[in-house]
Amino acid sequence: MSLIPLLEGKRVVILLGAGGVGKTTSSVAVAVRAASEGRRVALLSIDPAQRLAAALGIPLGGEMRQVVLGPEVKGTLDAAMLDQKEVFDAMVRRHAPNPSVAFRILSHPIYQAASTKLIGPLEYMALAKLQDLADDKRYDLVVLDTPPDTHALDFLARPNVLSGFFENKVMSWLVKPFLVAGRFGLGRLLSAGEKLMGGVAKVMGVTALTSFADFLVLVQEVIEGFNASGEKILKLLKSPSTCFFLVTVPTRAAERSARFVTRELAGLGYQLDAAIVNRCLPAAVAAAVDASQPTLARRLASERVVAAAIEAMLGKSVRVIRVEEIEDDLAALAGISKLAVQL
Amino acid sequence: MADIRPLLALKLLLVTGKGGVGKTLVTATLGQALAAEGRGALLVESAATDQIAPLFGLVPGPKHEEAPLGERLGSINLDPPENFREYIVKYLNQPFLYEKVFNHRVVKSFINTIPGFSELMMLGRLFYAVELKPSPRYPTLVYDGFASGHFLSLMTTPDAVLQSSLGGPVAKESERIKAFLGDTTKCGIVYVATPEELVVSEALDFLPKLKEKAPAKLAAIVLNRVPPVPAAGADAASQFCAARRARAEQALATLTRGLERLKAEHGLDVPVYLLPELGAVDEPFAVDFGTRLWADAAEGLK
Repeated sequence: MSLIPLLEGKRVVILLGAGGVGKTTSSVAVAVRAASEGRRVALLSIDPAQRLAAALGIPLGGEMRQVVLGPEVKGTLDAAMLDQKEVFDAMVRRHAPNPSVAFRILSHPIYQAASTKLIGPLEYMALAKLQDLADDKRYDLVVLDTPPDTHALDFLARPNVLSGFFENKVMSWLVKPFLVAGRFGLGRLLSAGEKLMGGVAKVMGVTALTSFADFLVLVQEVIEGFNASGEKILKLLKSPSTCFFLVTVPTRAAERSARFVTRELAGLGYQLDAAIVNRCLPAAVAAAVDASQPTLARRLASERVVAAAIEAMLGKSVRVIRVEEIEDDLAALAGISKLAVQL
Repeated sequence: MADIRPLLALKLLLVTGKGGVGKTLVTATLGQALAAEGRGALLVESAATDQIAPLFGLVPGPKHEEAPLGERLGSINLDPPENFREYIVKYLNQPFLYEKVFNHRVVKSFINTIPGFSELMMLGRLFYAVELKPSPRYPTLVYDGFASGHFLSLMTTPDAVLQSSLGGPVAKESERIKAFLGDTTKCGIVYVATPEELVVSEALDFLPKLKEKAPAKLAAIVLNRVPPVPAAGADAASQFCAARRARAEQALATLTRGLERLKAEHGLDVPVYLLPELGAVDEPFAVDFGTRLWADAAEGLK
C-alpha cells in the first residue's frame, strides 16, 4: 500500500496531528517522495526547526528555496520554513492601505509585542502562503505542515477570519469611543456601546483601552484585506484537489489525540484521506521479540492493540500507512529519504 | 536513586518540553509523588481535550471543573474564557459587571482580539490558585504546560504587557504575576526531553532562551524514556535494542557537553533526572505508579 496513488490529481496535501508524532518529518518525507515521482513540489513548514532546515540545506524564512535532491529524482522540491514575524510583517505591508500606515503598525508597541513575543495566528499566515503557492504555476503539489497545537483545527473551521478579529465592524463601533475618550476624557462615553466599554475600562484601565483602540483602528484595513482573501482559501481547502493526511504514532496517548483530530475534522466537513503511523516497530524486530527484552515486548503488545484501534476508528475509506522506526538521523535528508520510501 | 524532594517542595511546577516527550506523564507522576508525600496536588492543563483523566481510567468531565483522580490528587482542564470570568467575578468581585458587560457577545470578541490576553489570564489563574487563594485540598499545582515555543510565549506575556505601553490594572497584575513566577521558593519549570539527538539539540537551543526570557526559573530537566542496557544477542530484537541504547548514549553525551557549556556561558545549573523507558504505560495508572517510577529515576548524567 502506498500513499502515492492518493496524490494523483491533487494540488494540496495538508498534514495534521498532535505535537511530537513526526508531522514535520512526515511532511518532508511526503514531499521528497512526491518529487521522486516526478512532481514539482512546494513544501511549507511552520515548525521552524533549525536542524531540519539545515538538513534540507535551506535557511529559515518565508522565501521558497530549492532543496537539492539526488540526480535520480525526476521532480523538484522547493521549501520554506516560515518565520512568524517575517510572515506577519509581510501581511501588514501587503494589506495596509499605504506605506505610512504600514510603518505605523509595524512600529506600534502592541504590534511588536504581538508579532514577536505573543502567540500569533501563524496558521492563518500559513494559509495565506498556501493560497499563493497553490496559484503558483511552478508547482503542481503543495505540502503543508500544520502547527503542533491542539487548536490547530481552528484555522480550518474559519479560514476566512483572522483568529478573534471577527466582527471587526462592530468592534470599531466599540472602539471609536475610546479614540474620542482619549481626546476628551471618559465623560464623553455615552451610547450603549460606550457604556459597555466603560465597564471594560473599569477593569482594564482607560490608557490600556485607548492604546489598544488606536491600534485596532490602525490594523482594521489589514484585517479586512486578510479576511477577504480568506474566502478564496476556504474554497481551496474544500476543493476535491486538496487532501488531508493524519500523522500519529502507535501509543495510547497519541491514539486519543488522533481520535480527537479525526472527529473534529469530520465535524468541519473535511474528509481524511490517509493516516501515517510513524515509529512502528520494524516487522523483523517484532518477529524476534522474546522475554529477554521485556521493555520491547511491552511496547510491541501495546502497539498492536493501539494500531488495531486506530484502523478500526478510521474505517476502510482511510488508507493507513505504517512507517517503521529507522536508526538513521531524521534531521538529515538521507534518513528522511528512507522514510519516504516507506510511503 | 534520585532525590526529587527539592522539586516536591515547590508550590507550582510548570512542566514543558517538545511535543510528544511525555510532559503529561511527568505531570501526572509528579502529582502522584506529591500525593504520596501527603501533599495534595492539582494537575492543571489547558487543552482542547483532557489528556490527564484518561491516564487514570476516567472519562473527561466538563471543562474547568476540578475532578478527583484519587486521594489528595485532582485535575482540572482550564478554559481560557472561564479564567477571565473568574477573574472578574471572584477576584475583582464584580459579578454584575461580568453579566452586564463582559458576557456581552461583542465585548467577548473584543477581549479575544487582545494579543496575549488569554495567556495572561491563564497565568493569573495559576497565581490565584497557588498564592492568593490556595485550596486546602490542593496546596500544590502541577501545570502540564504547552510545548516549548508556546510555553515561552506564555512566560513572556507579563513582560510583553509591561512593554506594550498598556498601563492600568492589567499592567499592575502583570507585575505581580511576574514577581510571583520569579520566586524560586515557590515556582519552578520542569523541562522534559528524551535521549534523542534531535530533541536534545532542541533543548540546548531552547534552555538559554528560557533562562533569559522567562521570569520563572528552571528547576529540573527530566530525561524521559531512557532505554535499558540491552541483553546481548544477535537477533533482530536484541540488535534493535542495542542500537537504541547506543543512540540514547550518544544523545546523553551531547546533552552532558551542552549542559556544561550552558553552565559556563549562561550560569545554567540544574539537576537532571533520568526516567526509564517503560515500553508502554499501563492505564489506568496504579496508585503507586508515580512513586515507583520516580524511585527508579536516576539523578545526574554521569
